Amino acid sequence: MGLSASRQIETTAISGHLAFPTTAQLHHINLPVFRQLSTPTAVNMTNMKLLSSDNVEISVEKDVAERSVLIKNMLEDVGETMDAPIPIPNVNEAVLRKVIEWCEHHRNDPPPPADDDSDSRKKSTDIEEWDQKFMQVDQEMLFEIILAANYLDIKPLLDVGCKTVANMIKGKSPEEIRKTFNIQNDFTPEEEDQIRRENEWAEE
Amino acid sequence: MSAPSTILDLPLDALRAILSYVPRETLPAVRLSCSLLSSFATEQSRRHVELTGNLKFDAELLPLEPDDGSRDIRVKALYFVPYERRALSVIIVQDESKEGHRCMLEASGGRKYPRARTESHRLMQSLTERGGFHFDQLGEIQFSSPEICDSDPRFVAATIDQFPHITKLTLPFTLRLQKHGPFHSAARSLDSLRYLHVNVSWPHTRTRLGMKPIYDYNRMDLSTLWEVVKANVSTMECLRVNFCQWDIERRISDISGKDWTVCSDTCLLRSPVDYMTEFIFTITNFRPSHTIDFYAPWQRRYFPIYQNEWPEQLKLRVLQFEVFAFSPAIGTLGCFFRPETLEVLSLILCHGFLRVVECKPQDIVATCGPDDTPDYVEELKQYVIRSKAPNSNLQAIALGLPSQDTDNSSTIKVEVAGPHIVAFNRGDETESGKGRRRLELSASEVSLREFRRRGPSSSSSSDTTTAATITRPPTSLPDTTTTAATTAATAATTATTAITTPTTPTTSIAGTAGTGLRTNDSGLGESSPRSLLLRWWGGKRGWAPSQCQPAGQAGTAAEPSPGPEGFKEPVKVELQSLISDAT
Repeated sequence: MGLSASRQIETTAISGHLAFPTTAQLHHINLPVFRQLSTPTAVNMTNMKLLSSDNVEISVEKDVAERSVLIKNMLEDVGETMDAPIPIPNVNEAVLRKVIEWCEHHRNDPPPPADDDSDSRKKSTDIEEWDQKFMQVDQEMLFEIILAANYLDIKPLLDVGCKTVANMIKGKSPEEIRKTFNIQNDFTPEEEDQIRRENEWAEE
Repeated sequence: MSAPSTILDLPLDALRAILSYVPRETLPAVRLSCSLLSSFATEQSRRHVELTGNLKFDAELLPLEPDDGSRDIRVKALYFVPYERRALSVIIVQDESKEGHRCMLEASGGRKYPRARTESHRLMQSLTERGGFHFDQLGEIQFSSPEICDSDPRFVAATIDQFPHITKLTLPFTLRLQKHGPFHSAARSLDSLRYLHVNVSWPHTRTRLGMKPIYDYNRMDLSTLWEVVKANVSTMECLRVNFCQWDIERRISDISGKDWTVCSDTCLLRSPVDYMTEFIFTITNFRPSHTIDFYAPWQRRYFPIYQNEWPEQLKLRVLQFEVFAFSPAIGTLGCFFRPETLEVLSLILCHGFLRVVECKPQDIVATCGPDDTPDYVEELKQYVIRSKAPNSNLQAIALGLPSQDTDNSSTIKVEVAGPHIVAFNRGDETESGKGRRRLELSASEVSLREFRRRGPSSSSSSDTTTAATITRPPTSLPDTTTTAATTAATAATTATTAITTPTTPTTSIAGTAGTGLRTNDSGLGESSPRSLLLRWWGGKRGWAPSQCQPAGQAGTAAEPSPGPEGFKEPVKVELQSLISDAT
């Protein structure tokens, strides 16, 4: 039952980029397990398990896992009394381990400020040295980390990933950007000319 | 979820986040990379401009096509919702710079569009195509200058007609606009106005350069504006009418070099040169038709001045008149219109204002005259108005009077006061513990426009700062409310007003003069024991920030206070209202 429900969540997640499993879905998946785990004797309060999309269980400390707002909310919803693995259907083992690595390193960081609508360009694009090394991965892994951070709702990690990509864009010409990210130029010459004209008066 | 192979596979929110970190200089390159990134980069560039421009677009960013190369109308400011690109308001100005005109021509591909009926539509279409903006939720339109209405009233009418559900409208009212038929129908179609600001620009002729203009009052008809008010009676909250909009140049020539006085008997402003007086008196003389036995039959009335002429449903919170004369026939504010819901009354250069707010000349006390005598005729510096406020809701009154500067002939002698009016917390909100709130109406709605010029060549120095403080003496009100607002006001700049309620009583009163400026008219009763303090000073070098001084004890009768020692430095016009609550 849990497996089929996990697939259902996965299908939902594929259809939309922000398809987090809902609380109802989680209850639907693990409801019997939750009821069993409601007895305090079976609870391990410090460690928990995450189940990656390729069905690999990864043990992680609870406070580390709670860097993810998604997981934190899930634990709060179910009463923080589960030792069954939490399915993370959108993240494979390699990316999940990478994310956990980042979370472990930043486990004592203060919580990020509430999301405001301020211009992020005013913020620094500087990245900590450790984070820079952490992000020295191939583009596919980088995008997957961003995707996972977005899915798991880990805003600081998402910011680091976005800053990394922004730094890859910074100072490049349109052709260099296309080359860096393997993008096809889908503009017609007329459209391109129009954008160039708009850029000109926008820059004046 | 499939793994992203390229940046384009990332979720849209992630793409937005990425591009929000891309430096502005790189955004044009991103726009040229591919269509998806281009849309986000465009969005980011707009958003960036909005934020760096203090919620306003720079004028050059959204140029509009001139129809024949001679009319340069463009959007100066465009408020919009980030990400949604949904325009909330536009300010349309007359472009005077050649550079701006060049930009417009370039942006339109050098073509010159023929004049078309759908100018307004094309204007918005241009913005939509160029910036991807949507105007379905446009709430505010500002036409900045009478030249727009004079040069192309069709454009104004079409723009208003296209957005009948706007809530805010700023409109210069000119003779050509008044005579334009479609404008009348467009104005009547407005159905959701909450804020109406009208600057009346009277038709005039000037026989020679340097000669004072000759105004033609008889051809102007403001009935359309009143119809707009009546058509939006259920939503209208703020009404601002400047009955005489000067252009800056004319204003300088009209009001400079003149010494203004206040007549103790009539409470009217008088000028030795008497041009302004003549003008205002002329306005004064326009009376209702049933008084033609006393006044010339061609004299006209421009605004309803009797209570039964105002719709009963009209519940204005803010009323501002500028250059309006309250004749003795009008009576008090209560006779003039329904003041029950009024929270802010602003009267700038309004003759007979004391009568309107039920003040007597004796209530005006000059407290810091040149020789410390209560002579409010000459060199009037400061007034303490002891009077019963018109109603208990009224929170502030601004009364504009000119300041004087006799030492510098290059400085305009008359400075029209404002923006001075500040609303502040009402008692219920103070008691509810709201420490800080933003006034629902922005300061531009409750404040007054201020013109200060030191000459035509120094127009850049027009930025002025004015402070207003409304203080309740702590001994009379534990929940002392202090409101301080600093507004940089230029002809096209508005600011917001922050309303602050300190948790502890404050004793500060802005201003350098008039210690113990307190007023608590003991005969006011409990319902509306509010009194107002108005002061202003002329300065030699212009305006300066106010200083603070402890308030006097509340509950004492207002008395002339000694003038400030050494009060020689230039100090700006300043309004200070002292709110006392006998309860």
